Amino acid sequence: MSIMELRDVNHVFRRGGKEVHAVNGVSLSVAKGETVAVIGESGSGKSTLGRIALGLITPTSGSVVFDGIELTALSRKQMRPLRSRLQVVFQEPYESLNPRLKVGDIIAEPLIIHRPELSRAERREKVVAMLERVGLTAEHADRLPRNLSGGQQQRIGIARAIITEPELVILDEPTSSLDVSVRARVLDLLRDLQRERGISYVFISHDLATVGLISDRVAVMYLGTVVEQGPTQEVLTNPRHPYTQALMSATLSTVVGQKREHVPLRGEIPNPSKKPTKCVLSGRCPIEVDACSSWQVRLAQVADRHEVACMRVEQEQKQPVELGGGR
Amino acid sequence: MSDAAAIPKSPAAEVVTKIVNFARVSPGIVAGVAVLLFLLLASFLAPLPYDPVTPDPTSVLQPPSAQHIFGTDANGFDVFSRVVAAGRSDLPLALAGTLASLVIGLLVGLPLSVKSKWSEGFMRALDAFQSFPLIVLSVTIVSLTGNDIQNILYAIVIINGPRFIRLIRSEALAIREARFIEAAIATGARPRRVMFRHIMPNVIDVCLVQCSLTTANAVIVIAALNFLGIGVSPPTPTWGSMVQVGAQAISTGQWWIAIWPGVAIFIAIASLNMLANGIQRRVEGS
Amino acid sequence: MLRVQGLTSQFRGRAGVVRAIDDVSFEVPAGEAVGIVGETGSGKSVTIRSILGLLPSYGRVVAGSAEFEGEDLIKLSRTRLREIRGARIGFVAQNPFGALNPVLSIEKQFRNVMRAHRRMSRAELHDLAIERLTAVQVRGPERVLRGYAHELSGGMAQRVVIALAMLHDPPLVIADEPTTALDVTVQRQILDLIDSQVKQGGRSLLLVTHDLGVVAQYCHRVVVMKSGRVVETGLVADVFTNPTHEYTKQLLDAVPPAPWAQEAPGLTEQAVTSR
Repeated sequence: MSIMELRDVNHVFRRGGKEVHAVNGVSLSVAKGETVAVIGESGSGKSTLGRIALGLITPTSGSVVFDGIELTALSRKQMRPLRSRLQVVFQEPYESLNPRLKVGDIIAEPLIIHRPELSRAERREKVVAMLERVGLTAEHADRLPRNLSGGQQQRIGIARAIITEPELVILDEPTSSLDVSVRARVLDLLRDLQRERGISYVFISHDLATVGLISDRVAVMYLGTVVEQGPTQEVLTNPRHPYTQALMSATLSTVVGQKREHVPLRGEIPNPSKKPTKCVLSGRCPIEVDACSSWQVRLAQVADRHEVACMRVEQEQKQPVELGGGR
Repeated sequence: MSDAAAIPKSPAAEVVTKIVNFARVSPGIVAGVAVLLFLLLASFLAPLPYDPVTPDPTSVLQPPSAQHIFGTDANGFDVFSRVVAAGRSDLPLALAGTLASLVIGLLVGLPLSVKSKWSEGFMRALDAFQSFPLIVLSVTIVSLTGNDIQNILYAIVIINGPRFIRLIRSEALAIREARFIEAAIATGARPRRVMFRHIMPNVIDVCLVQCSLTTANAVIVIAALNFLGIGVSPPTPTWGSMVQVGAQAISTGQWWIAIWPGVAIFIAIASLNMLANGIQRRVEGS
Repeated sequence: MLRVQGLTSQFRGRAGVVRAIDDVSFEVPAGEAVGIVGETGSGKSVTIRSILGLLPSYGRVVAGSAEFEGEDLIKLSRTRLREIRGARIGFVAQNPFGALNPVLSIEKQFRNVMRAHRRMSRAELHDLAIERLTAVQVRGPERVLRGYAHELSGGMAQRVVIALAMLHDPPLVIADEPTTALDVTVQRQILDLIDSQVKQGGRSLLLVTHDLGVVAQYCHRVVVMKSGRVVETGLVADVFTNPTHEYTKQLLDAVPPAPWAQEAPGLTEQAVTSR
């Protein structure tokens, strides 16, 4: 049973008179209690996708269904009561906290909005319990966000997101601005909370190593398009799309001498100003052939629940013997 | 912090330590506030040597002396008493005008930060309005509606209200882009809550700076209007009207009549600018 | 090549004087790459800024020395230090767009960097700039020279910065988080580029980073810093396989293994090598 279902979502916005095709035909489903990671670099459309899932942006086309409710059909006003069930944690912990509000007030805010029947004392009690749950103390409630460390700030962001007991939380790079030692502990907290409360996560990240630790399934995005998706273990151990392989090989191991052959991509990510009419990786791909430039991107199954959007992989699937000989 | 806990201090001593610490970091704010408070308290509480509104016809145009330390004017008023007493009307009026401008700025500027055709249109209208020489407009309004002290208040608001609206709107527009606003919306906060709970507290800093500058400007506007004989009924002392009376006497050598109210205006404005500067630094520093 | 001893710097702030780095000592041997690694607030950036005389106005070096080519950089006059910076020590900053002047053409910036230390005719310099840009794999160097920083992508801009830093063939290159602002797939290109540029010229490299993987793969030696102090230094091969200090251990443990090295290590190479 899926809690969120995105179907053929497209989003185009205008920036400085130019069109930006941020999301192109993305379909994604999140099951209850599951963590789906959305991987991509800047400009991949992963954050836009997160905002679409949150109902903060209405996509140009496509459908976003949260627990049976079509979000794209709702007005902002109709959306509001749903927000207690659908929450978000942002990348920049400090910037996502109002610098003028005390920590206690920040965490209490969702309760004030969604549980107005609670008395001040009841609210306070819940806030303190939540602070303690995320590894802080009651004493932190009276502090301002700027007097806390990055890790503590992100714990507050998490506390605010889960105090209304949401069913789905979009985690938009929740750990990428944190130091490594802090990062591991915040990830632990997120995992514990998921186990306790059965929350579903959409974990948006550019870091495959982190994703490997927390997600059940992963979708790799490039230029607004999902190029590979599947169970995390399967994708990480057997990445098929050249972009996924490049992304993986770009992560450096801390084990001296443990090197992975670098799958280099030429150049850099182009501007997503046009709707892709050929393979999105065309022009950067190490295994590109002429036919790629007239190939329409589509996902094809390569293994159980493992899908890849690459013409060469697709052909290989169809005629494994012939291509196998050519390698 | 820790030593304060070790040695218990009286509450008064703690307040003093706090002020001293604050002064070390922001001397401008403390100095500005101190001078302003001094001017205000003096005008209301200081024992004046002479009644500021009763002339003494026997001592007219006296230069500064032991009896009249700032001298006397052509009507026989004691300049010192009048300079001090003028603070009673000038300073509270300037502060009230500023406060009114701030409130209008918040009530109009914050909603205008929601981008729409309507708000854009309002801003263009405001542009047109501000392209008038506003001081001339206020002179006209005040002189048409009568020599009433509250009309001076309106004049200050006409000149400064649009500035506050503009400032608060542009600040609010910038803050609207901040991540915590998105977080508030994602939490389900209504637009009004976003505006007053999340945006407003974050524009207050710049508003404080603008308030001190506006008060300084208001002191000048009041003086200018009074100088033109508007909004004041003699013999009530105001700095502007005193400068005006004194200006006529400068050519005949009686410099002291205009100089002292001038100095008072200068001190008031300098302290307000110091305050604005101090707040600005604090805001930037944090 | 570079010998830093007992370097101590302080910052004056609202809360009084803060010691940002305390008794920092390490060496950069000729021809080797040394990584300074640490988390936020460890003082790694302050260390190189102290060495280069680039501390902000409220900071200053209070003790220690940084010996480079027989001179103590800390004691040098501003003029002499400026002569060394750029000519003898190349600097690559984290944000290439902060390092490049937005209102000057790239060619003009080459000219400025050149003129700071050496005279050269415009035509000669133009040819040299083209050569250097080509060496750092900038495509369309002619067009880039005529253009401005904002027309470049992050990776291209960082390449230009590297070319500028290498213009005078400095024997020592200092890089401050040179890839942090870039996309993952571009990061490796830039690291490989810095690595090859340094190796080709037989230069030494002092690389500041928060990424232990970068140190493991690109450096010979490592300096681990925490709260302004050096907690461990040594050969990367030793420190990373056998960390003696508890903090280094924690740091290494906190980094998740590379995605291709997680869980099923036997499978990882297959996908790539099979192509």
